[in-house]
Amino acid sequence: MVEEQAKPANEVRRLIPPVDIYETENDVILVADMPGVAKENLQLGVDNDELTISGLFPEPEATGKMLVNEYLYGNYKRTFTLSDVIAQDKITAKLDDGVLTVTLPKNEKVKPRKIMIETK
Amino acid sequence: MRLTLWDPFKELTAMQKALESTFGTARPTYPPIEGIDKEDSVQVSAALPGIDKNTLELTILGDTLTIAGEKKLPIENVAYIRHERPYGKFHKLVDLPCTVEQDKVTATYNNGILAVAMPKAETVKPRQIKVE
Repeated sequence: MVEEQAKPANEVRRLIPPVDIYETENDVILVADMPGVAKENLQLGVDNDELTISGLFPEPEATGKMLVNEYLYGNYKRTFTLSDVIAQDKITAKLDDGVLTVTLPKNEKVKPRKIMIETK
Repeated sequence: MRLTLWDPFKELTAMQKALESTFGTARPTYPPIEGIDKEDSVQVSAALPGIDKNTLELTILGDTLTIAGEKKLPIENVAYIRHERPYGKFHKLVDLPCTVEQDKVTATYNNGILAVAMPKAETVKPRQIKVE
């Protein structure tokens, strides 16, 4: 049985979402697990070359006796430093089934470009 | 002082139960769940972001709920710069506190939370007895 831990009423627990980051030819993709976060509770921001993602997983009203509690409610938050490679003004994101996918396009000049050789 | 005979098998099964059970001190298996005993029903929720519902299998056998499925990687054949999210097949057994009406079980999946609502069987609901 998990014991109830006392927590100040105003304080929201801080959660760290696990992420996958991978790179494709044109983008850097960041995927974060944020179960329980609805779109209206999600926030993304870029400030000073740092990307911050945050989302609230609100605790519902207690409606019965807690038997087992393996996950926590609270505020997911994590910050990432963006390199020069990223075109910050072109960042897009989507939230599906508690998974946040952030697409960070690379700057044009760092993309590999094929040079066409003209033959006359 | 009461003396009891030490039963080695009792200890082994107890240890095994602690490992399998979600109540034990052993590390919980994926996915993390929450179980609430309401007056008329038992609710089990699992944090399962990014699951393809087609891979999900929910079954109730006796007083055990099984949550099984697969969490796939977002993309194959790519080099990951960072890889922290859990993925793969999972199979979790949850011991229910009482018998439930299997035919009346409903499950929803919202924002990555799978919520299974299981109404308690009539025979196990607490019932007030009037004293005449």
